[in-house]
Amino acid sequence: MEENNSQVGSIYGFLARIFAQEVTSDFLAEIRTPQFRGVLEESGVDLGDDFYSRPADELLEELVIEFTGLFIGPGHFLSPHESVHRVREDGDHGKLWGADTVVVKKFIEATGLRFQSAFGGMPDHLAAELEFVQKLEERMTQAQAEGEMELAENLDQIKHRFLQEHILTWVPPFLDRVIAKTNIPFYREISKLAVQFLASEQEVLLSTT
Amino acid sequence: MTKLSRRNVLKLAAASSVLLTAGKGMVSKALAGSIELAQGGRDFNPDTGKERKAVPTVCYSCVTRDPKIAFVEDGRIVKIEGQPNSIRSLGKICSKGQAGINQVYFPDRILYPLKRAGKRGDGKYKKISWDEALTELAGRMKKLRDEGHPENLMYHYGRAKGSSDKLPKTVFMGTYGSGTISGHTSICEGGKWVGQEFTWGSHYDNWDFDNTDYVLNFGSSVLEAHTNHIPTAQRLIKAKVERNVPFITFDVRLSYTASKSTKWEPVKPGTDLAVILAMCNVIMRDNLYKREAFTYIRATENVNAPADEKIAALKTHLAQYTPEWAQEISGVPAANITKYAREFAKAKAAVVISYRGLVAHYNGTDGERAAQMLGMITGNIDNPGGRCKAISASWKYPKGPKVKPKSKKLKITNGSLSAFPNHGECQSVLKMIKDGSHGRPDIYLWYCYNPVYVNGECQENIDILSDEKLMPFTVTSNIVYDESSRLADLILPDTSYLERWDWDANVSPTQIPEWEFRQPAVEPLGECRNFGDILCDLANRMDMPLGFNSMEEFVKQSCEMTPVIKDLPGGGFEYMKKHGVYHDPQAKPSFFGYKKEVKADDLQKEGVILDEALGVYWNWTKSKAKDEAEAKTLGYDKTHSSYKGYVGQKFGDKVLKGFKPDKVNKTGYFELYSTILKDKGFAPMPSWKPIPEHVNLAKNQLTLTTYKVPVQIHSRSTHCKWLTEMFHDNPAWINSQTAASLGIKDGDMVKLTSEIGEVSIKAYVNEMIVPGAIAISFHLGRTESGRYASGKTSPMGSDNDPDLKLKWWDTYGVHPNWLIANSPDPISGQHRWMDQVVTVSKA
Repeated sequence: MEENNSQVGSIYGFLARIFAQEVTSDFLAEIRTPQFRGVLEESGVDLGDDFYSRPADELLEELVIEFTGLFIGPGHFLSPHESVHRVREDGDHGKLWGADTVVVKKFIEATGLRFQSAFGGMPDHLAAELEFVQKLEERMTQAQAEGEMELAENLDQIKHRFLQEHILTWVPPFLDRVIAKTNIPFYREISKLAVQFLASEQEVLLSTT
Repeated sequence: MTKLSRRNVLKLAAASSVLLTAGKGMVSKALAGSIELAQGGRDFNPDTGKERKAVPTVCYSCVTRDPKIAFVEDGRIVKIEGQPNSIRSLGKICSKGQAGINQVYFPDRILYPLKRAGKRGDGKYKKISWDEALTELAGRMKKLRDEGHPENLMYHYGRAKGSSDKLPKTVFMGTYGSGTISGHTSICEGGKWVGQEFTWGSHYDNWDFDNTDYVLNFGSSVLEAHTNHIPTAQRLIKAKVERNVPFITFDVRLSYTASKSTKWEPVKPGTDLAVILAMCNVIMRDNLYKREAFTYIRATENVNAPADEKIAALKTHLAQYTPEWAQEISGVPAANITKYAREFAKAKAAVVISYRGLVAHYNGTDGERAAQMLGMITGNIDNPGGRCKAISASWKYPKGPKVKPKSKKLKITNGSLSAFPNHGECQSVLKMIKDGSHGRPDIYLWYCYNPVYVNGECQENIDILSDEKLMPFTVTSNIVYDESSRLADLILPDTSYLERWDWDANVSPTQIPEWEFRQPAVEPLGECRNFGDILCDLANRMDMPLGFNSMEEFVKQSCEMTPVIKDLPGGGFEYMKKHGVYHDPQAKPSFFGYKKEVKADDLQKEGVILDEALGVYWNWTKSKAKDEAEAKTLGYDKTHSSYKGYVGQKFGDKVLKGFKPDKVNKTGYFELYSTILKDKGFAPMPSWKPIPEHVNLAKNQLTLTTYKVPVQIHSRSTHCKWLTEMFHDNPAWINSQTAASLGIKDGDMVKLTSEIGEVSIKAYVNEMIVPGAIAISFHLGRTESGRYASGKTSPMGSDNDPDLKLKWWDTYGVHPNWLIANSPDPISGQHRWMDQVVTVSKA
């Protein structure tokens, strides 16, 4: 296990935030700071000058409409759920609250977490899965700081298992579809970043297993 | 696609972190709670994903009784894990705990009431109904009681704790009217308890490894087989690994514990006492003692002697025990004895620990008194990091009818060879029955106990238990057909601990009590019935209702009566069913109880008088004194059972709780000088006594020492396949020098003979045992207990375990008890497991 790996929890958190709901004005303001822009650009994410110069209200309106069209509908939207996109050999896929929803729910709950009563989504929502890994990473950091190395190892193994069994099986191809479908740079570029990030996570995973 | 560099990942992570922190709360999260992976508590079938039912319960493999969780799938226990909420075990269990599943499902389990059909001991039984079994037993019991001889029902128990102790012993036997009851403590560690009763009062010591800075271990296999194993072992390991706490083990053998110690000091059998006395001498001689401790110590005949006089008296007494003298006796280098003594005394907090290696000897009670002395003179008694008075949860329970008959008893439970058998002398019970001078029971009922196997002199035990003239009717409640069940006229199939109710508690390693709860994880197999339920049924059949009709009701009523438990959310019983354990989160560890002042009101209560000579306040009405005048005339120390009325001890102008006595009329001082022992002809201060049999041994005479391994319970686990697969052979350890002098090579068969018997066993020649000793473990050499244990099928054993086809071992080991005399420590009655001399030759 790489010690530095535990720092990536916030990237999972950031991505979870992106796909959990539409962008808010506060969040947009944070993304548009020069500091964050610099980091994104260093990572190869070019949201275009327009993103940083347009009036916030106008940009926000466009982002909200795009988010709705991409992930909520109506019409041909991309349902961000594992059970819809992940193909199972037993054919039990392509639907909401499918077999994989149950598997993911049990997986997450077995770690001691539970779903917020106010959370109206489904357990295998893209954002929920990313948030789960964020939580694992945060707990891993804490365990390392407190010298609970056995626990940290255990958490790392669980993260690897969850990536292998769930996120990596469906999220990258799903994001490819988002990239192809979206009409604006923001979701295309952030999705590309997410794909690259997950690829780097897979590399770490392969190097340690 | 562009590759994201590791550097960029880290930069992005840092920026995301800032962003998330800045925007905290701006989006509702999907997940709540915290990840508590280390604590487990839930389980899923790896194939079907189906969640298993988690049932909180408490282990009953060994006496440690770790809280745990049984996972049940489709009515069958499939896995056992530790209870994450236990402050004792911290969610950990051992291999024996995990193998609890085997205790339920082993193929030779007794599932139906069995009645002897042939000659006693020939193994012929017939299956009978519960009604038939209990009608016969109740009829026999009722007859004895109605004829005025309830004492002729003897109850003999082995592992009985919590409600499984109180219901049979206190409630059932109390209501029935028989006090002919024996436990098994004297074959365990009775001498240790008596040693403590003579020094600090009520028995059991907790070792505060969390706070200690130094550990001296005399004969305890604390990391593998202690009576509070998992709670203490993990804390000791933590102290050693995380804080580098020195941990010195004195043992005849390189046990697992010794191998994990900072230093193993090989010591000749029965000589630990000499080492401890020399250490105490060094500490006193070099003025390394804690002066303040002498306020509370009694070291002279005169209770009220000033500290200087007590210090001088102890110095004088110990001066004879030089390290060089101890080296000569024990083999431990004098320089090391001196070094450890000084380090121990100078440590901020230090703990002396001990067990059977110290106490199961002729001089064992004094060994424990000396260990207590080492702790007390250095200020390491009942302090953080030291040897502490045990703290355990207290349960209230229904005690049956208010009016009970005056109990009668046969005087056969304390033997005749020891002066203070405060915890009985169970190894002498069958001998006493054979002798007959004090009567014999008509019904001998034993529970969770195997008298043939667990005591010394196995052959005599078999002979007595087989003799229908000496033992007219024998009954056991058991899950396994063992060496003693074979000699029962009636076998009542008990529930395993995973099929029954109990309240329970054991000593806390942190000085904070924990209440614990056992409940059925599954329904009992076959027609098994809990022993407690059977007793309720028998009581009803004898027209002596106990006020509850099952162990479940008993436990439920106990929950409703116990102050801390009854008001828990949802009610005590339901709370404990759901959670399995409870401790007060506000509770603080209990230390220095002896320094607490007695409330003035408690000194004014009716019956409380002051023995001015001794400075003891006591309530004479709780003693056997006829009246106050007699109590005053006889005084505290000479009045029968006066210790029961002890209130407090005067220390200067204060009355403190002191070291409250139990079982003997000691004062509230920490008594290093005992007038009670002196009056019986023993040395009043801990003093050296050689083992008589160990003097002038011939070259081929070795001292037999015994031990336990981590993966077996003493005598109740060889039917568990997972455990016996790991440990099913026990060659005798012999030092290579000793072996060479006797012409014995590793792997040779050797013959061991004693005045009691003879066994043949394979030699394991090594350097992990002191010369002159030979070590054989307990657990094995089973002649019954089913196919995994002995290769023999028990009556009505089934073939329903597919693993029977995978059993690959055909060795079952050797049992040392065929050689060991049932000989007690003359003070306490402790069985002398480590003193037996055997003659060794090549077989």
